[in-house]
Amino acid sequence: MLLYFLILFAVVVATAIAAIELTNLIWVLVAFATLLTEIALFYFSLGFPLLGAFQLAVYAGGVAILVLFAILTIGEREEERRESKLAAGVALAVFITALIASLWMGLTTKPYLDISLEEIGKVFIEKYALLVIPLGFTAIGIIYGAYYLLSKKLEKEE
Amino acid sequence: MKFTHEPMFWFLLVAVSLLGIGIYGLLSRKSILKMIISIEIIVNGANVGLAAFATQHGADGIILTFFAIALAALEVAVGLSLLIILARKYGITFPEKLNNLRW
Repeated sequence: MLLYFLILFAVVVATAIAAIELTNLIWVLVAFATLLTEIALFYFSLGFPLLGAFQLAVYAGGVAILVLFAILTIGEREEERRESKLAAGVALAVFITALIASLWMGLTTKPYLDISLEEIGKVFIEKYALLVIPLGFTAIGIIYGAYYLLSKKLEKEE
Repeated sequence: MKFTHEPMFWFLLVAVSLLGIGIYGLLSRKSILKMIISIEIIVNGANVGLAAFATQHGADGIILTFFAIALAALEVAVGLSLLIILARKYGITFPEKLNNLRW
């Protein structure tokens, strides 16, 4: 079981690094979609099939296609690279700090809960159903605001 | 296969690794597309952490992960549409050239 986990972990880290380091944007997309699919496998393995299916549908499906559309629209361009020593230092510092926090919290593992779909639905209805309404309005506001700002700006430019 | 006997630390290690790689990508890349992808990697790391904590604390973590995935997809849609419009109208794909909102 640990071997299976380690293989998944290695693929996740390798594809995440490839998604950032590769220069050909189509290969970046392939690595990114693989990463998102592997994360869905983690959700399946944790015993959350609905979450895995949602991840596959929304991320590995929708978001990957959106990124593909963006790449095909803007074309593949070679990117200039920024000086990355500082970035690597900051990322390493964050990684080590978060790793220490994870060690602290993750070592006290209780037995895993068996959470059924019925329980998820019950908690959602009881606690979070009302939250969906303001979230929906926020989502509409964000999309409409971005569209409004851009269309006004384009009108002025023309 | 279900990981029901592994320590939670392994899942937090995945989350932390994705967080570190995403921050590195966000700080070291100039392309807006790569920055969006880096942000998505960070968000996915956070989602894995939430799901891992849900195995210990109940269904709330799963529901929060659902919300996080939906909002992250929304954020990608807005970010990519902005990128496409900027690229097509102004030829900008690097954030350094994006200074129209400065005052």
